[in-house]
Amino acid sequence: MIPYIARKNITHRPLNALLSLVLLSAGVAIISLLILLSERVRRQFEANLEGIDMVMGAKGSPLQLILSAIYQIDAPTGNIRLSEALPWMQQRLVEQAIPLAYGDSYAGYRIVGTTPSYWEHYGASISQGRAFSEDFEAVVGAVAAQRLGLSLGSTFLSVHGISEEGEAHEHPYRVVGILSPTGKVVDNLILCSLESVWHIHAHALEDDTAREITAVLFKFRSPMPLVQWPRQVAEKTQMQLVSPAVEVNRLLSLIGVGIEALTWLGWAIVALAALSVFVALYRALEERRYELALMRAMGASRGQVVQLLVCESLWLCLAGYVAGLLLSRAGLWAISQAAEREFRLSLEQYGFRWMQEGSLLLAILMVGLLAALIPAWKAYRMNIAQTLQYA
Amino acid sequence: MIWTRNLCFAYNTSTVFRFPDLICEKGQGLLISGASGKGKTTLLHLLAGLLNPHDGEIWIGNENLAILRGHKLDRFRAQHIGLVFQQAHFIASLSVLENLVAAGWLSTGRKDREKAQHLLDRLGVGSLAHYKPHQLSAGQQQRAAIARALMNNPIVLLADEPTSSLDDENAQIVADLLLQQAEEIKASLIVVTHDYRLKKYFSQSIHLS
Repeated sequence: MIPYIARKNITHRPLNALLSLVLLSAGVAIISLLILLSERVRRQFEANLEGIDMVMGAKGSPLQLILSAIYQIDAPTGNIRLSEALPWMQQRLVEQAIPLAYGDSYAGYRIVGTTPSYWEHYGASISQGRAFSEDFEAVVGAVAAQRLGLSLGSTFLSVHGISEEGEAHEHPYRVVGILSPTGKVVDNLILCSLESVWHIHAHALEDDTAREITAVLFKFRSPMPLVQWPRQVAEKTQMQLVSPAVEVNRLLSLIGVGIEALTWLGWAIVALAALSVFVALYRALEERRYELALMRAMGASRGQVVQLLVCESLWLCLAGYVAGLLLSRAGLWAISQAAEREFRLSLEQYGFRWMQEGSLLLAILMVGLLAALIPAWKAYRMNIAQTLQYA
Repeated sequence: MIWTRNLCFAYNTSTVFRFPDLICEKGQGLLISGASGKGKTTLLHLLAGLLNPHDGEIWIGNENLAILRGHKLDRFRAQHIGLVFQQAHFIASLSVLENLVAAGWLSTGRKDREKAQHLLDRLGVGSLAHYKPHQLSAGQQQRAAIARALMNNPIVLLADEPTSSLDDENAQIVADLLLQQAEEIKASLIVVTHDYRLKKYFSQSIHLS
């Protein structure tokens, strides 16, 4: 009955509750969105990083090299000569070295010249068709195939560069294989042999020294090269060797600062919301003094009157929390659409985060209790006879 | 039945009220009149257990209200006393019927919608059960308030200026209904008022001076 009356009291004067609700849901939405995003971004970055100890590429920004070679986000730092990279790739300490050659795209999806070890590295397998064996045969990632409507036997013309309106090449690619989905970056790529990339850019295939690649993903047998090779590579060649873990950690900590600042903003809004709930309750208490005195006169105990006010506060907070969660999901959907379009990065993750969003719920309910504290105390101390007499 | 002896209440050392002893049998009505400032409402609040007397006894059935305190007093009031005030106040967000149900629930812990509807019918406002209190006229509100006071089958029905804000016609209806309901449920009815229109309906009366 008390929770029922509390709910009625809120819906009876919805305008009084509106400000509190808006503030609460805004604060909750921001915090919950950040919880979802930061976790998802971190997971996306770390999942794609797995099993790659170092990345070799042209000199330039190390972060740019990592972003382009592993996450396919940024533009590459430039090309390196295969002949220069090969001696490193063939070292005994190298467990696996996957070459990548960029240059073209189709409808905004990157075409990467590589070897089958690339998708095997990400745990993808050929779900339809077979691996490429000839020039201009393509294997398409699961998401790219679906979005582009490519199936076995489809042909398409690549364009130079990674924008959607580049200069089209004349030689069409033919789809010979489709990959199983992995949730990783390979889902959004079109893969072909290195030779296809060289061919299309009319590099003289006869001349080994002119063959260029963009980056090499290394996995080592021992940690030794991690320490020694970067300097050797920097000194002896025109290339750089970069640890993705270090770069990604730096990037995440940069993002982390932003996320932390925004989280504080979220909490500040929640604090404002608490104040607003307090003011709403306090004003309602002034307005409804007689009503509460009447309830006391009819047999409500002090505890029940306190319960009523606390209930009203908790209802408000609960409603704000639920609205906030829905809002955060809507925001995530919007951001995810943009991220997919811009970065081919899937951020969708709509499930309830029990740990963080559960504690957020507890925190919000605490806020509700806190806001109700003073009004409840006043109601508890109310002098019924006096209130009834001077109403 | 309700009776008092040597009842005394002081707001401070200069405002001390000494009340004449009174007695009201069950099913009977007692009118307490007097000008403003003579302690009419104070007396009613004492009888209702909303205030504690400084001295004297208030006997309702076998219980001396004057020595009950806190939660026990709250429970006694909830279970055995029906209250009607000058301004019929309600929980504004609930319908008239829900107000009665809530009042019954507060005193007995049961939600008795049928009884609430029955009482509203008996007081002639049954068709307004699902309206919000503020949609009713003053006379209708006072009738609903009487119905509410009856939800806990009180031994004592106390009314504080129940007719002061009503016109002659409604004042008569409310007075009749109070007496009639008190008789029906065998409750002692005590009305405090400065409304002299009520004098003619009550056989017993006390004047505070």
